[in-house]
Order: sequence, then C-alpha cells, then structure tokens
Amino acid sequence: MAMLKTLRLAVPAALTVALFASGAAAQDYPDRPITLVVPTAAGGGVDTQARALAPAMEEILGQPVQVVNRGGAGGTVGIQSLVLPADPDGYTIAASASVSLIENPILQGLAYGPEDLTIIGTTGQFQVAIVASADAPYDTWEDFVAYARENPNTRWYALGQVTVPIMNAIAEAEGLEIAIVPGQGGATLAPTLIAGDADVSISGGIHTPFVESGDLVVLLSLLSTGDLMATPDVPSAQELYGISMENNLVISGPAGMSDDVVAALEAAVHTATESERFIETMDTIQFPVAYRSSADATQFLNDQADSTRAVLAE
Amino acid sequence: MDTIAVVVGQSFTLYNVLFVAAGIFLGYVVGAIPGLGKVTAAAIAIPLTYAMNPVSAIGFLVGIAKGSTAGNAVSAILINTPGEPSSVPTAMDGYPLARQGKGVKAMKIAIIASTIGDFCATWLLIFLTAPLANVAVQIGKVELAAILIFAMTFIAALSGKSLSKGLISGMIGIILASVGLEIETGTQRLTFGSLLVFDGLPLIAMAIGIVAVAEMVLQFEEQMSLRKGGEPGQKSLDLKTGEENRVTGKDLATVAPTIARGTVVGGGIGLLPGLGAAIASFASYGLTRRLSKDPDSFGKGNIKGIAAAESADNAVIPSSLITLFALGIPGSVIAAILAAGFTMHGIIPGPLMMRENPEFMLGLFGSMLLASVLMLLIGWIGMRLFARVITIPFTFLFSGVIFFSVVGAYLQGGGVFGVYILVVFGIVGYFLKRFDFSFVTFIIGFIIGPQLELAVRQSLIIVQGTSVWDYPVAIVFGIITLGVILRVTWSTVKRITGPTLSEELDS
Repeated sequence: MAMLKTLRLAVPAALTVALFASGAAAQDYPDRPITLVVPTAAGGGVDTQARALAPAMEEILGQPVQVVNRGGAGGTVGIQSLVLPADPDGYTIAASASVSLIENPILQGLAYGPEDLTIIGTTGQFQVAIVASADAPYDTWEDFVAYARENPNTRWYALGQVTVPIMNAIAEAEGLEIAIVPGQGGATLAPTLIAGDADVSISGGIHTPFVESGDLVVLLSLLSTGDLMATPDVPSAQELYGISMENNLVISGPAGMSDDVVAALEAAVHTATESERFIETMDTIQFPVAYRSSADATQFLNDQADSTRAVLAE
Repeated sequence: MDTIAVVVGQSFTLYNVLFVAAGIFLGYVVGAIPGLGKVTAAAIAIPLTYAMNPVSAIGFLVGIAKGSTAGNAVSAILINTPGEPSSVPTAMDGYPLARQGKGVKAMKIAIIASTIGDFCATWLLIFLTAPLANVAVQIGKVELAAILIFAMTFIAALSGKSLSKGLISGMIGIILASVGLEIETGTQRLTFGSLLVFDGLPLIAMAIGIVAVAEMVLQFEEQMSLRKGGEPGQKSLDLKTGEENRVTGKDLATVAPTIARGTVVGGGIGLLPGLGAAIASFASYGLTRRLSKDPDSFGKGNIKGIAAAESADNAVIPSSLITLFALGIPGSVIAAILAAGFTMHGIIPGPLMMRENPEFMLGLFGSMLLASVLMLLIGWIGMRLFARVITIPFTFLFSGVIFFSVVGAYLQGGGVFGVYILVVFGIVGYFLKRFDFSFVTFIIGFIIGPQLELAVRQSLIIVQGTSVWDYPVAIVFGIITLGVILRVTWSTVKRITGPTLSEELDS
C-alpha cells in the first residue's frame, strides 16, 4: 500500500517536472556530473591541459567534471564514438586539439568537421614550428634553405600525415626537392633529429624544452598570427609563403546545445583559463593560454576548416 | 655527505616509506590478479596522487610499476595466466613447477630475480643516465631496424617443437598487427571501415584474451573431464612448503648467471625507446635457453627460465626511465604514464630536471632504491597470502579470472570494443593452444611486426645517398642475426635428418 501511495504522489510530480523540464533544465544546469572527453591517451599535452581545466571548471559549475580518455587515430575515435552521438544537454563535452576536428577527419575521409559540433571556446595554442637538431650545419631558416638547395632531397620527418601537405607546400614555394620520412609518435621527434635520421621536422610544440636545453633549434614559425612564445624572433611561414598550420585546444560538445547551456559552459571555461592552477600547468608544459569565446572560436575553426579543405582538395 | 643527508631527508621519512610501500603493495596485488598489469594499475593510480607531495607521489607511482611487474609472476606461475605479455615466458616454466608442487619455490626465484634486476638497473639509472642516454640517442632508425630483425630471430628460438607451426602463428601475429591506418599515406588496412581499429587491434585486450581467457577455458575443460571420469573436480595443484620448496644455495648459484644476463638484456633493451618489457623478457628467455647445455628442460619447469624472464622484465622499468630523465623521451608506456605524473606535479621530465630540481631527483632516486628493497620484503611476506589463490575452488577462480580479464580489456582496449576483442582472441587462443601452435610467437610477431615495418620503411628513405659503412652498429647486428639463423637452420636440419626423428614421431 505504501508503495502505491508513493507512486500516486510521484506520478504528478514527475509530470510537473517533465512539463517544466525545458525551462528548468537550463536554469538548473548543471545538476549532475559532466563528462569531459579527451580523445587522446592519458599523459599527452592535450590530456594534461584538460586535467588542469577540469578542477577549475568543477569549482565554478559546482558539479564534478570527469575526464574520460578515449584515444585513437589522432583523436577522431573519441570524437566520433563519444561526442558526436551524445545528447546535446551539456553533460558530455570534449577537450581536443583542433587537428582532431579539422585535418584528421578530412585525411581519414570522415564526414564531420567543426560545423557538426557546438564549439564552446578555445583555451590554448600549440606552438607549431619547423625545428632541426642543434648539431646541424644550419641554425636559421635562411641557412637551411641554402643548404637544402645545395643538397637536394633533404629528409623531412613527418609526424602524422597532417604535416605532409604543409611540408610539400613550403618546399614547392622555395623550389626544393625533399624526401619525406614517415614517423609516428611525438616522442620520436627529438631522437630522430638528434640521431641525424632527418634534417628537419614540423613539431606541434613538444620541442620547447629541447630548445631550452640546447638540443634543438627552431627555424620557422607556422603560427597564423603572432610569435612563438619561447622563440619570438624566428621568421614566419605565413609572412614568407602565406602557409600556416594552426592548432588550438578546443572545448566542444555535440551539435544542438541550447544557448543557456553553452553560455554557462563558456563562462566556466573562460574563468577556468584565468585560474592559477591552469596558468601554472600551461606554463609547465609551455603552451600559451589562448582563450576565444564560443562565437569567436566557431568562426575561427569554420574558416580554418574551409581553407584546409580547399588546400587538401588540390 | 650532503647528498646522503638530502636523500635520507627526502625519501626515508615515515610518510614517504609508507607511500612507496603502499604503491608496491597495490601494484603487487593488481599484478597478481590475472589479466591486470602495470599500465592499468598506474593509470588508475595517477589521480590518487593529486594530494601527495611530489617525491611521495612519484615514489608511489614507481612503486606501483615495480610491484605490479613483480606481481605478474604470481598469476603466471600459479594459474598460468600472465597479466601482461612480458610475463608469458615466466609462465612457460613457472606453471610446470607449480604443477609439480613447487609453486612457492618458483615464486621465490621470481621475486629474487625481479629484485636483483630492478635494483641493479636502478643504479644504472642513477649513475649512467647522461652517458647512456647519449648512446641511446645515436641508435637511429637503421640501427633499430637491424636490432628488431635480430629480435625477430628469437621467434625461431621460442617456437617450441615445431618450427613451421611457430612461424605460422608468428606470421598470423604480423598480419593482425597490420590492421589500422598505414603510416605513410594513411591508407586503411584490414579495417573494414571500422573507426575502432584505425589505431590497430588493442594489444593488451588481445593478449589477455589469448593468454588468460584461453587458459581458463582449457582448465575448465580439464576439470570437466576429471569430473566425468568419476574423480572429484579437485585442483591437482598442491601448495607444499616443505624441503622441495626451499631455495638452496645451489639453486641460487644456478640462477645467478642467468639473472645477471637477464639484467643486462633488460637494462639494454629498456634503454631503446619503444622496445619494451615483453621483448626484453622473451629475448632473455630465448638467450638463456639457447646458451643452456640442456635446452629441452625449458618449458618443463626450469628455474632458470623464470629467473631469465623476471630479471629482464623488472630491469626494463628503471632503464626505460633513463631516456625520460636525460632527454624527456619516455622509453615505454609506463615511462609515459610516469611522465604524466611528473608534469602533474610541476616537473617537466627531461634534460633540465636534474638541474632545476636536484633535491627532488635525489629524493626520487632514494625512493626507487627503497622500492627495490620493499618489493623483496612485501613479495616474500605476501607470497603465502597470494599463493592461497590456488586453494580457491575452480568455480570461483574461473569466474574471478574472467571477471578481471573483462575489466582489464575494458580499461585498456577502448571500452566495450576491448571486451569483444577479448572474447574473439580467447577463442583464437583456445584453438592455438589446443593444436599446439605457439601463442608466444604470435604475440611477438604482433608486437615487433609494425615496429619493424616502420623502421625498415624509414631506413629505406634515410640510407639514400649514404654508404653501408656509415652504419657499423647495424652491420654488427646483421652479422649476429645471420649467425643465429645459420645455427637454427643447422640444428633443424640435424634434427630432421638425425636419429631423433623416429623418437619425435612417437611422442
């Protein structure tokens, strides 16, 4: 009997909740833990940043933010299996490199791009640059180009296919003949260059401590705007050839999230990027904090996707 | 004197000793659970270290890594279900010993070999980090290709009775390892359009399936037939602690050279980024068997087999940290996870670490040596406790192992997909074992195949325009490889044409 009574009370209550759910949901958001999908294995740059961001967001939102790692295929496995199909209720969001949203899906022939996600903001910028061993007979971009002209088929180490079209475009602009050495795993960058197995490589940012220790030198910046944090004086490929390889840390969610939820998350991300812990972590792994609002980031990534598609379609 | 004071002040505090011991204990327990290994243990433990001070946090993580590597031997020896590929050779001799009632002795040998391997490699890390890292960095792609081909020839040494069956399963391993995106152009290979295998089949889920699940099914079958035959379905294993389980001075003298060799092999292989514990323990096992006067006694319960595998397996851990500490390059999966732990505590692994955080580094070295000693203590005392696993009725053991195998495959194999892989390779493993195909060469093929492919393809581009004499290290390894191949061919020819042929057909 008692159970029946409870049921009788519960049914109208549930109905009331259901009726007002659409209005109440956004106001009460978040009322349960949020999952932050990181589409790489635990331990990399993206993961470290996400794990610094999560506790700061937690404090602001008042609900736990749980990091879930699902690595594979340059981030496309995690985005496709956990983020795209999730409910756009704001309880599943992702922290990924923009290369997992733009270049990798194109190269792998997958049918999604930043347009198919709700972009909440960007939080950091990868220090993409062309680097070489400090022992090499050149330590500026000018010297390297001269060296590469005299010695055709310089070996360019390609970590991931994403960098191959960039390398070819730069070589073409300078009229160089190059040989591309395929590689895998960011950790192999420094040893490959130091051992002399390749002449130059494009680094996504992990070169900075090696530059500080004197093992590697930076030759050319690949940022679309602004200077590299640790080596602001190197020339920029954007200025020389109009070529860049921008990669940012993006916070995103499934398409169709309500404006209220996006606003709540946007505010949390913004405040979190200004928190002491996040800034400290970013300083340790030597990434500049680069915050963009939801609107700015959406515009930025969509433009980047359009131009990348045009380049890769050639 | 100051150095010693710093080490003592940082690492021999009650707080730190407790955390290192907790790490070892936790690692040992997780390692001793079939299907779970160090990567799972360390990945789960990283969030637990948030509130600790850096020295204790890293000591705790190192303790977990060391403890679980040693703990893996327990399930490998007692129930023939290694938690990781690197403990497979331990099971090859450990399980036969356990069946002879010498399980405790096998575990003792394992823990002694683990501790010595680990302890010596830790000193290597402390004193030779800088010079060894410079050597490791000079090992380029061409040298790596030569070393991998050399390691491949151990397949032949490990293929058991039938060389052709060993080669067949090795080739199946290589073919399955080619699943995923091809490295140079990104072409899909054998993916059938499924995104989940773009990065290849998950090794750990597959290895647990092929080793632990298949073994449980085989043991289940054995129990059923025992029951049908009117005998009670009791475990045939028996845990004696009497005379025959004592490790004598003679035993120690027998395994001492093996342990020394295992430590060198593990220390050397751990130094080369990406080669890892599995290759080290197989290589050490293969080498010991090849050098033995009585190679046929291996696989039937030779304590040298356990000593070879375990010393190399544990020596890899400190050694794979050498390139991490000196250059910021993690030499193994576990080193990469530790690197994440470092970063979380505000320390960037790499060349600047020693200069910027000398006190932390001394404290860490102290903790690592402490971990070696504690590992021996906890392993030795805990042995009786862990050994009770074989007194568990088979019904519970079976369900427990399957349960933990599913958990391990889920954690390390990309969620539910890992569980499917576990089931499929459980079935594959069952048939491999049933028809006497070597699952060992299968796993080695799977691990080395893709690395070798990448190294060879890179080398072909790199060597353009250079002379063969630019690569003396590669030449040396090439000659050794040829020597091994000739020896194996010679002994195979002798075996086929020799008088032993009829004996072999009879058996």
